Amino acid sequence: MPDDDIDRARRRFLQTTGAGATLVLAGCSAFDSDSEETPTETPDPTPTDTQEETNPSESETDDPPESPSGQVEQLDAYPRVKIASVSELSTGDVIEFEYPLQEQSNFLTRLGEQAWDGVGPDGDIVAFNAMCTHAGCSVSGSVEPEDSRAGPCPCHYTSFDLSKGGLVNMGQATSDLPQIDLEVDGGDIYATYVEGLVWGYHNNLRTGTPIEAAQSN
Amino acid sequence: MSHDNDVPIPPTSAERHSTACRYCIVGCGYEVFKWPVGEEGGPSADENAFGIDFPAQALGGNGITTEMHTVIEENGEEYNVIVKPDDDNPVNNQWSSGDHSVRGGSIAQTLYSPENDTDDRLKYPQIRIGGTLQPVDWETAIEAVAKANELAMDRNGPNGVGQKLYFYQFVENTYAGTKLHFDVIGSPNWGGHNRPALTPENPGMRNAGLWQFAYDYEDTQKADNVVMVGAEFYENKSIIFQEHIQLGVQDGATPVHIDPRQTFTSNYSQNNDGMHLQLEVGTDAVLLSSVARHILEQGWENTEFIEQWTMRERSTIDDEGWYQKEFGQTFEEYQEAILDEPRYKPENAAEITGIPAEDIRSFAELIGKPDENGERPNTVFLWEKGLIWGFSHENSAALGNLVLLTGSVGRPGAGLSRGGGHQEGFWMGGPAGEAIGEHSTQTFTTSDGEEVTIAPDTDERVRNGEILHWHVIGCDPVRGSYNTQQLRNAVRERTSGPQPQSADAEEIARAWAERMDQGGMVLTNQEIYPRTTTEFADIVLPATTWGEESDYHRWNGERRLRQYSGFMEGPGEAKPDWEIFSMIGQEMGATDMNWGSADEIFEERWTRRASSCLHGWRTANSSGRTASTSLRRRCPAAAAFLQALATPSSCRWTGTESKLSTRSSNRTHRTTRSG
Ligand code: SF4
Ligand code: FES
Repeated sequence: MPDDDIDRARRRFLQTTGAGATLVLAGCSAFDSDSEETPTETPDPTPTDTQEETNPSESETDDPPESPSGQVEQLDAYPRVKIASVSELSTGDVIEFEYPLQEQSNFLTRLGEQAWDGVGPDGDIVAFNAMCTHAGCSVSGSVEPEDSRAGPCPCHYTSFDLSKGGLVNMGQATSDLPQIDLEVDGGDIYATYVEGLVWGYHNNLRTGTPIEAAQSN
Repeated sequence: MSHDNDVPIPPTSAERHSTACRYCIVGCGYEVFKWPVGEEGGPSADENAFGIDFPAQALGGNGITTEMHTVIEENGEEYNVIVKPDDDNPVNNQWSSGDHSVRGGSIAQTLYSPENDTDDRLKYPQIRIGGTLQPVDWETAIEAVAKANELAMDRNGPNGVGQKLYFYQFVENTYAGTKLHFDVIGSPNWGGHNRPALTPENPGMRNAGLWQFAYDYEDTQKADNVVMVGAEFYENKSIIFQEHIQLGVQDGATPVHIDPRQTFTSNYSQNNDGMHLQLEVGTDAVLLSSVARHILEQGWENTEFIEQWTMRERSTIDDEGWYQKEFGQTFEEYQEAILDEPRYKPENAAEITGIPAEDIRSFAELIGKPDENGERPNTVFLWEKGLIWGFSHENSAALGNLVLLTGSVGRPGAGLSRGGGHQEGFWMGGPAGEAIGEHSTQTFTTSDGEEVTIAPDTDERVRNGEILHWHVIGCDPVRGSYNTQQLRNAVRERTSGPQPQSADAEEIARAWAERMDQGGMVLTNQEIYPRTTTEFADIVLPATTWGEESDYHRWNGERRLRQYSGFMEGPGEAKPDWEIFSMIGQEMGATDMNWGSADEIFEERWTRRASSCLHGWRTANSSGRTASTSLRRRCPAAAAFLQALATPSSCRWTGTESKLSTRSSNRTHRTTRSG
């Protein structure tokens, strides 16, 4: 479909520039999601390495604010994390995983139809954050891969199109379900980035414990 | 849809304003946070204005989406603004906290900023000179409006001027606008944003003596039945559905959707032990009257209510005015008419409406039949455009009759109200009845042959040349009226005559006088954005809107007074509508329109009104956050049944029509074409 192609191309462009901006912000090119190279190590997400103690009123405008108390953990960049293998994922499967912070629950699924930013041999493997962008209820229990849909949300019935970048196709949410950027490398599926704000957060990388390094390889 | 990955957290020092949604009748509570770009709060409860630890909890009412945030500019400074649902307000905090629809959740995106899509707001007054709109100063623009009024009145008296104004954009503005029109100018030619005359939108309800907002949202939680007619509640009146109706249904209420469309609300009703009566388009009055017939045949009518509240004497009804005299019925007359009309037999009605006779009977039983202890079911009736923007009188009267028959008003869990549309922000500021009575050129012939003066159809008077200056405020009639194409052609033709060649006052007056003398018209458009009507305008007056400068008031669908805070400046030289009306009025010699603020207008009206009937409107306290019913008053009211005979043109069934039905249909067409 020509229209879809245009949309996909546009999205790719936005996605690339979006990721670039994040990398500039993070100042860390080792985890460039567009890089051909597979990083051999994931960053050590311990608080000492990832936190800077700054007063919010003194912080730079581009930097999300941090807790002066130093109680709140955060990441500086999106890690590249293995979440499954293509061969283990059949059409209709739904696998839940946390990324990039603990309690940021997402789902990986294989739709059986080509999807925007889908990966794998058929371009039908996609992942999304599971928190409804209306008021934060989880849609992980209402993922219907055969209809390329998440929802209706158990709280107020919002429903999202998984083949079109999590587009709201009914309901009260004002933004798409955040899509997790995926890469396939040697038959493994990696999460590399989150497109869109996870509901309830002010920044996807802040105010939470980064997922364990052990899970990521 | 935004793909931003972060939003700023408001610091504890952020300005905080309590307000209400700019959109629909539900009137959800909102809060606005404003603070300079560069400052940000922290994610711990003591570091931010919400007083919560981030991440926000699901359903807790404090999540910020990227659509709830925007950056505005004032005096060269940038400010973050967050517009989010209030997490402590009875309207949108029943089942979940800070609930909102897709509309309310993106209000921030509508705020004016030179940096985003709202940049095409109207910023300067303009006058069409040499065929092109040119910026002018306010003084020139206001003088020109007053001059256009004067030229029109010189030629056709008050009838030379017409006004078309929204019904909803805050009581202070509509009060000022109608004071200018009915008091200073004294013209009868007035239309609302959605209709060309000063007529009721639900004539059947109003003339049955029912107030069209007679319930609390909470009643849907206590009801036995929630009947929703001609409206889509989940999509269009979302929060009354999500936060109130659903709670009632969870508690055992039966949802009934009456609508030709299969929508979310129909599916929901069918899936929750309710009904979807998917009637043929335009057959509402037949369906509702056949339900009434079954109730009457079974003797389920609420005799106690009917005896206490409806007019029993023909002469009492006749004294109420021509409409009641023409269409009003005593209970006995109503009963006879319903039982005599063969179309209302459920089997016949089934053929006309497409609803099986057994469904008509089940629905009648649901809302009419008392239980074994004699307790009557409590039903809330909610309706909207699907019912009223067709055969307005017939449909609204048929539903009003059902409300009376079942006595569904004045007790907890029962009631009636509109099911959609805008919040109510209309206050009459001038003697409309006098202006219409003295100057209207439109009449209605009653069945007794009496000629009754009625509110004129202003669209028609724009087309036929009677209106020489048309002042259109906050609506787009050449794009959305009845018979729009014809109206647009008339406006195009009548504004295309002589054009001023300079902004000189005398030159403007010369060109417009010449144009009027050739049958033309001058058009003033007072708006926030350029619209299709603006393309034909001679004078463009830029207005401010929700959140800009003034504090305002209006009511939601349960009569709860909502307060709106001004928290930012408008674009360019735009002014509040009330101030524009005040300037025009004073230019024309009015000495009682020199208000210093919208609050002064509210006080002027409130003081005058409080001593009379308040129609049960109720107020919230000054913070707008908590309900109180302290100012509730009851109007002396009595109700009457109304003839609601179906219009033959829409019916497939071709049985004998009574003489009465043909007569009344023809006549109601004449009065309700503008409805
Ligand atoms: S339901 Fe109506 S009042 Fe409430 S948020 Fe939506 S548009 Fe606004
Ligand atoms: S939280 Fe999902 S629709 Fe409201």
